Amino acid sequence: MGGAAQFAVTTVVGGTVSVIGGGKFANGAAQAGFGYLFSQLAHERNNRLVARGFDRSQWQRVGLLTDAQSEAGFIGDQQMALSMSSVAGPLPTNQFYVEVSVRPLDASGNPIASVASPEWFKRVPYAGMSGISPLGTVTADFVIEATFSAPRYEWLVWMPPQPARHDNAASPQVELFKPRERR
Amino acid sequence: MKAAILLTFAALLPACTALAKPTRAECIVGYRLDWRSVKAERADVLNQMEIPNDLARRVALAGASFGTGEAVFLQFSQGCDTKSAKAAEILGYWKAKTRQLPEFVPITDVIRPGLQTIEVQGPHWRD
Repeated sequence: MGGAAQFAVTTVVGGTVSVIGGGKFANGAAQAGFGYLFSQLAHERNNRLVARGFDRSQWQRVGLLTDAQSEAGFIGDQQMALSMSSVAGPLPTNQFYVEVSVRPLDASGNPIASVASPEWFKRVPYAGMSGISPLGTVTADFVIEATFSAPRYEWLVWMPPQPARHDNAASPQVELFKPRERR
Repeated sequence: MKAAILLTFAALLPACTALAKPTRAECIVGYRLDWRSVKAERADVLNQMEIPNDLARRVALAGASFGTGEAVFLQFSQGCDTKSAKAAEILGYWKAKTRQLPEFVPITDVIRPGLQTIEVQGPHWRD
């Protein structure tokens, strides 16, 4: 399907569309010809899980989020990794979760106008087990990948308040990594 | 009349509460990292610069940014008038736990939040 046909399908099937990078839909649609057009089916979102667990020696820490209700953003690559930890105990609990979204940036780090279905733009939730066990700290580790290609990527990780009954509300922490650059 | 005055105060209260919150810039501390004396690989050192959950909670750390390793930025959610002391406590932890640390050179200019510095947003700040 050609680019123009994809655009038509997206606008009709999606009903309303959202635009990354600010501006009204009309502006975004006008820019779609030289911006980004995502015509994925409604069930697909801007990022997806690639793996559970990762080797830290292959990754480089770029940030840390330690406050529930807050969102951290950073410029990264197509893949990122995150590690969630808390002081839940005496056993780890399976209730730590964050929500992740990613936006395309141009080579200068500016947002690229993009058009897709509203579903595509939604943050993707990731949940895992974290806390302190008799054998040590348990972290929930994920490798996540943007479902599109762009020169650069703005990753946004939002940590909602964690359920107090599972102790993850005490000192939650999310470490953010990008693929390691060898010097 | 009294009711009108009370209503006025009630209407102004949320605005005053918002103004009582600090800006993000008021809560950010930054250091340039001087790696000249460090032989270890930069990524290895950055990965060792952990902040334990209990320390982060004690100093009300909201987030940290290491970027490309040229600088590190710390953003606090409370007690931002003592942010330098809080940051010093984190640096003290790193110095005690991490080998081959770079030199930390304080950034004295006002640090604006953003993707080039640190981008953490939430209810603790008014911007």
